[in-house]
Order: sequence, then structure tokens, then C-alpha cells
Amino acid sequence: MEYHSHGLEVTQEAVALYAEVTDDFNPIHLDPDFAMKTAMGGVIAHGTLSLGLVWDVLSRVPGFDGAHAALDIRFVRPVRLGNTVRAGARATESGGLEVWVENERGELVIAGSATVRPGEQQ
Amino acid sequence: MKIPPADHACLSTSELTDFAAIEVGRSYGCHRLELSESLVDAWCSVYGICREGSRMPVGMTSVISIRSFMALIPFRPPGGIHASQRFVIRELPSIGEVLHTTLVCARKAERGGRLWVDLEMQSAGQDGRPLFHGTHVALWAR
Repeated sequence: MEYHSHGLEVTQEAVALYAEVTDDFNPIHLDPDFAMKTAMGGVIAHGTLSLGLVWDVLSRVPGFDGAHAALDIRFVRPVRLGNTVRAGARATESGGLEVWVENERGELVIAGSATVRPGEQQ
Repeated sequence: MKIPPADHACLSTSELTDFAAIEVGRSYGCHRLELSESLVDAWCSVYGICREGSRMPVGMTSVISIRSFMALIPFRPPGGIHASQRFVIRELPSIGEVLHTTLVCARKAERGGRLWVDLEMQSAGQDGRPLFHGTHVALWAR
């Protein structure tokens, strides 16, 4: 069984608002001139902006109660302004979940795993 | 949208924390955050969703984690990025609750020409009950 989130278009406005919400005004997310001089070669969105979609997709998994969950992910590719990202989750044979976020080209930007165990302590 | 200031760092450093200054095993203190309705609404608006119920949306665990990092280690070389993240969630707080998050540096290493720092965070509710914890792995800027 596979689950998918809605898509999120990563706009400058969304990144600026996310900076306010997280209090994270790192210039790599907000200042094109600064970001251009870094290894990223330009502005990138906050990684956790896309991570929010993983929680959205986990909320669609039967049994997810908003807690008693664990998540372990890597940010594998930067998300740029103008990208549209979408999360997915797939049950694994071991009883866990494989989770990911991909951009509009199908490139992975986040990869990892999750467990959802209602009522259990992690 | 203006987010009202509700953060308070119980202990934080006031000097530039470059990679050399990071102390493995050090607690960088405790961050206090009131989980206001306006903060939750602002987070929801990023995703184009509406607030539901009386509990914090689970996706806001990242917000709590990042805000504590920003407040407790405020002076960092600019341009660092987030490499990986782990969360374990026991319970979600109520909207309006005051959260306390502690931050400890678990390890640091230079590998592949990059500066890796693992920060462990634990968030508790206003009565001290554990809510969630996690590890934020950062690539520190030089």
C-alpha cells in the first residue's frame, strides 16, 4: 500500500513565511547573493519545509494517531524555489514504512523510514 | 503574518559558535516556547491547511526543534544546512501549552571536507512530561 501527500509549490513567499515560523533566517534560504556564493549555488528551501509533507502523508496511514511514531530521514537533494514537492510512504515487509519526498521531476529530496505504533512507547 | 515573540532561551551562548567552539557533551540550555494559536495558524498557512483540534500538528515538531536550535546557538557562521533528522514522538502537546526543549551536542566530526554536528533535543510539556525527542544533524558552515 502506498500513500501520497498533496503537492506543495515552494515559492519565495512560502520560504519567507516558514523562516518566520521557525525563526530561521539563514541567508542560504533568503538571500540570493549570499546563497549563490555557497556550495548550494543558490537559494534553497529549509529542509524541514518539505519534511512537513512526510508527516502529512503519515497522517493518512491507518492507525496513525498523531503520536507514538518515529521518523528517520536524510535530506538528499536541495529544494529550489519553483519546485513542487510531494511526499510518499510505502509499507515495508518489516512492518515499517519507507518515506520520501520528491520534486516535480521525480528526484528524491528526502529519503528515510518511519514507524507508526499507536499506543506504544517508542 | 506576524508571529508574536514567545521564545525564551534559558541559557544560550552569546559568542560566535564556529565548529571549533562546539563542545561535544555540552548542554546548550533550555528553550521555552509558548505554543500559541497564532504560531500554529502560521505553520498551517504555509501548507494551505486549517488548524484542527486542540493538539499541535505533528509536523510542527520540526518547528519546535529548529526554534530551539536558533535560540540556544544563535550566533553561527551563516550558510549551514540540515543534513538529516530523527524524531521519536510520544505525545503531542496542547495548543497554548508552554514547551521546554533542551539541546545537547552529541558529537561532531570532520568528514569528506564537511563539518558534521549532531544535536540531540528533548521537548517536554509544561508539567515536565516528555513529548518528543530527536537528533538534528547539521552541516556547519565554515
